[in-house]
Amino acid sequence: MYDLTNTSSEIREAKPQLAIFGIGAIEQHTKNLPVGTDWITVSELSKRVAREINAFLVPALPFSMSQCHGRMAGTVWLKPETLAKVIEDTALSLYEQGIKKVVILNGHGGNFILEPVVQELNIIYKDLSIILIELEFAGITDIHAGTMETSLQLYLNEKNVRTDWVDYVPPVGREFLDYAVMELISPQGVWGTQSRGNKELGKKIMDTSVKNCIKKIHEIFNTLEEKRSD
Amino acid sequence: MLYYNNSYIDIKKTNPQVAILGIASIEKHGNHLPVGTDYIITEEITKRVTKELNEKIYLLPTFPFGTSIGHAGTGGTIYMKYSTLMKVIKDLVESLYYQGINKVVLINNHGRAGGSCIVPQGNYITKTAVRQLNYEYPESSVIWVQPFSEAGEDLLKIFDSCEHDVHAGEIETSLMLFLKEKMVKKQKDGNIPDFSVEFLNYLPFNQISKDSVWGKPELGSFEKGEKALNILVQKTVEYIKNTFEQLDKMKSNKI
Repeated sequence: MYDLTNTSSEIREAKPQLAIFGIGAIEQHTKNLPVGTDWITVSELSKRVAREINAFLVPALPFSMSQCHGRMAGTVWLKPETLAKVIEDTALSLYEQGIKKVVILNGHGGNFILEPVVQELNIIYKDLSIILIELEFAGITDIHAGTMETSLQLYLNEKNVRTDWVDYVPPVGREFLDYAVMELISPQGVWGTQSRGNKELGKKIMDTSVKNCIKKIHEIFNTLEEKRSD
Repeated sequence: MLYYNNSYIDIKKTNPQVAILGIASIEKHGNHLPVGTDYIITEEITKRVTKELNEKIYLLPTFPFGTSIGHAGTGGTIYMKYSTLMKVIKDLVESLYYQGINKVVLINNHGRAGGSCIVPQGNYITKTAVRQLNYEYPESSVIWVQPFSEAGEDLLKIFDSCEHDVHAGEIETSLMLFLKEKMVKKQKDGNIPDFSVEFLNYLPFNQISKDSVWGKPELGSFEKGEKALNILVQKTVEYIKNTFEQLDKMKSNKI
């Protein structure tokens, strides 16, 4: 793995073929979890994935589309067009230095601009392959600061977690985040079940995610190479 | 100090009035320093400055990327276009204003030593973003500071090649020897190109200097790095305090 601790010449000589770029967020995660939850998780996951497949690890982006958390303290955001530009500039910086496979590892659920950006870049730059991998965990369906994120923080960052759990699943569909800010939908900022979170589950989720991400990365790039050489 | 490991309730209860954001870069630093040099140094300065100031400050994670187009295409360099960085700064500052934090400090990627906080030495667009934000939101204040400029005169006393130190030279090498010695590789003697620095606006860096070094890294030392970091933090803290003091005075006179 190569990252920001290497010199430019070490990276050039190693000729990494693939780069991993994690997208985090700084936003409210209830009173129990840190505002850096998404960034902490995706930094760790992208590091583990990059290490396994010997990729170039770009430092994970701390900020993304968190406007859905409105005025809840500590939340900062990028607007969709800004995030799109950051992704484009990063992908093209990699492309210009000969790294033509890029994995965007999305660690925040609200980044709906990523899909159109990825699609556009792939069509415009014929020899660039940029793919989007969303963090998904089989069997866990909570949306925000629930079982999954609580477990991961307990595993990665226990000393910064409070355990006065809040559980709440709003009686509406997830598209309500298109209509109203989180504070109106769930005043304590949760969408899921924190009390089911635990450290062991966190470790399991992390290990499985690393495995699943790597499998997906290989599958997608293999298929792409086949199709593009047809 | 509040930062990304605090919950939103911690931040709400403490009700910080000031936020600090570092803006760094990931770019080639010769063959002896890591591409994350600016990021590592900026992170350290912002953290220390925040601790020195007082505890009611919200420190954001440093934005890793700068406008390093002069290093485009070199291994590991990730650069933002200036228009992108301008958008990033505007969004982040606006989201802080939106939650009631009306004073924001941008600690700019340090660029070269010397100069003043009048002329930006690196990530030029930071200055423009600050002006525009202050025109658009006169009730709030965003300021910017370049530690290497503020501490310029003191750095002259510490570093023998200070006047010719532009990139990956004695200063950055010393700071990295102090902060992350293991990441510093053995370096060849540096060089000081026979150009004035404005040529950085006309040519890619590696056409001006082969290894993208401008300065004398071989003169760097752990001790100089330690001394420099202390003074960089001190001068940055002073700049922030004085600037807000003056601004507060001006704004209250007006009303």
